[in-house]
Amino acid sequence: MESKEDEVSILAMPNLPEDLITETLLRLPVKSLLKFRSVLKSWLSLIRSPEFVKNHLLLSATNKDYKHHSLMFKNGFKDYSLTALLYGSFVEYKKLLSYLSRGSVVEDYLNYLVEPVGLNFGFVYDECQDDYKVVGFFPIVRDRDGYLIHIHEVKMYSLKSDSGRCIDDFQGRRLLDGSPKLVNGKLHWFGGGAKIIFAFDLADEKWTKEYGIQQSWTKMFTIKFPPPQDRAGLIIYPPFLMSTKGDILLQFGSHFTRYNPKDASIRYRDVTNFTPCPEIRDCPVWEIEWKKERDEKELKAKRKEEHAMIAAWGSDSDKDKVDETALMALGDSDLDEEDEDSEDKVKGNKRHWYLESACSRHMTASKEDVFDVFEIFIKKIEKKLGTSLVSIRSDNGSEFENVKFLKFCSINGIDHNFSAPRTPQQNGVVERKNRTFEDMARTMMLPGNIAKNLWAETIICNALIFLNQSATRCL
Amino acid sequence: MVKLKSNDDKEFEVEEAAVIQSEMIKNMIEDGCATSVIPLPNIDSKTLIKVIEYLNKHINMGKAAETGEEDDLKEFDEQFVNMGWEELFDVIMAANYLNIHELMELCCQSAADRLKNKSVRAVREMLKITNDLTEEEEQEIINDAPWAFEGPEIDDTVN
Repeated sequence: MESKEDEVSILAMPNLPEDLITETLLRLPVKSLLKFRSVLKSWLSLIRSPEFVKNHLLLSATNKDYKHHSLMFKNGFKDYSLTALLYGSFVEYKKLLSYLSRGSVVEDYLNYLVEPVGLNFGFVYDECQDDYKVVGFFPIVRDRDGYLIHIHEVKMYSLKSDSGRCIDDFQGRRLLDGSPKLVNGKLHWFGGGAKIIFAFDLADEKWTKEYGIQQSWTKMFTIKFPPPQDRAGLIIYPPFLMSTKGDILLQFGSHFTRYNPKDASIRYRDVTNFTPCPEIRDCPVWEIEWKKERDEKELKAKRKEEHAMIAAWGSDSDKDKVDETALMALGDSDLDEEDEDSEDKVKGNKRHWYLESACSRHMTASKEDVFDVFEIFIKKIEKKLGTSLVSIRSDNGSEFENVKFLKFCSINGIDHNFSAPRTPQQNGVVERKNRTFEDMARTMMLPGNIAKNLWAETIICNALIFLNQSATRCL
Repeated sequence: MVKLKSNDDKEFEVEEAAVIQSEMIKNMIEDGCATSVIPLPNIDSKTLIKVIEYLNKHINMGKAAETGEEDDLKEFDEQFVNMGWEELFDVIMAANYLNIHELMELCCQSAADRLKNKSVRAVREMLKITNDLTEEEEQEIINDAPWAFEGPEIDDTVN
């Protein structure tokens, strides 16, 4: 009996040297560790020690099979285990909120960040400073020489100092697409239609510029659009990650998908409780080669459905209300630089927006800027109105008839109709509207005794804003 | 060939290519101390047989990925760690002593996987640990993160 007891005490785990117990516990997920704090006093103090926490994080983060990694969706804070998504037999989501301790600053900050629609942010661990940071983009409007321009202000929050601050030196006007990727201690965003990479260095909190050189990039893989019978949706979203086995995890339509770039095979992953998240519209369209195979009506109905969901999600109020408030907001801030002769028909009730490019003889704006402004405008209008742009009509000005515009329209499924060259008569509505602008501007300038060289400003700042805000459609 | 001697005086002959996966023995060979028998006072023959079995199988690990034997090796690893707790701890200690990184990784991960979903009670019983926390202390830990103690995956069985 005594000998048996002896044997037991030698072989029991507490008699393993402490560093070997540590080695084993380091490989457990967080939930198990929190549970096992109550096994033994020595385990409690071990699991609580900062050194253990640090080593555990390091080991989990570098695990090649992504055993402890999960995907987080900001809508409702859902998270999915990555291993299960890639190779597991079934996946169930967990509610992420339970993982964050109650009232934690991170949770508050995430809530705060998620609220503004279309915001991009990265939540990262900064190894150099042993700190958690949130880097977010906040759209703001600035007045530049009388023109209202859209830029993004970058704010960074640090958990260690519990403070946020503005990082001023990012002056990019373009929207950055999707959520950032963390590589080598730098957060990377795509900008300008995947043409530029913006990198933010977490260590010295500065923007890196040299990524602008496209020649220095390496193409790692191409994702082929699958044949019709294999399609689960219309849109392939940016890939989440490439596994060590070379498989790519991405979202196709509303399905998680494992893609093998070697034989272009697609495996849809079944996810229990996965409802298509509305926030997928935040992501940029990565690559679409969709052709008009489906009945267009069906597509439109589908789009309407999708967008109705966003509207409801964006403001938590009924859709009509969203429409109204969005209109007001658009009237005062968005019509800063407008595209001449374009009209957007919005849905069945045909909402038209008159955009003035400010590129004609009586205006002086640069034609190169038109596309950027247009892209931002469309994104905003789509978000705010919860509808999508169906068609654009414009003349053949080089600010409209160019590669960028063509690409944008084909990617987003927008019809772009041109009037016949040198035939402004075909653009009757818009040309007449121009006359109205000019008349309005003249009327405003005369009594105010405004100098003639402020002609452009009058049209942009006043006439258009009035027109877009006026209740009557007659004008 | 290198000769290894366990603590119960049994000698084993192992190919040098296999045995140099152990950092400790690799250093000894490089320093020229492995000319005769290497005594291993911390390892009994039963454990040593296990370790040698692992070393022989993993001789060509670098090439396995190219020849498509990766799955075969994975299956071997799964079978290999299919042993009792006592044996597993012995192998972990041996792997630590001999400094065989891959084996250490494999066994610790296996131990962690076995513990992962177990309830606190089951863990104590499996590892023959006597609880030294008071009831209040235990309750305090549970209150701190109650979600860690609930869930459908928690397993109260001992095996």
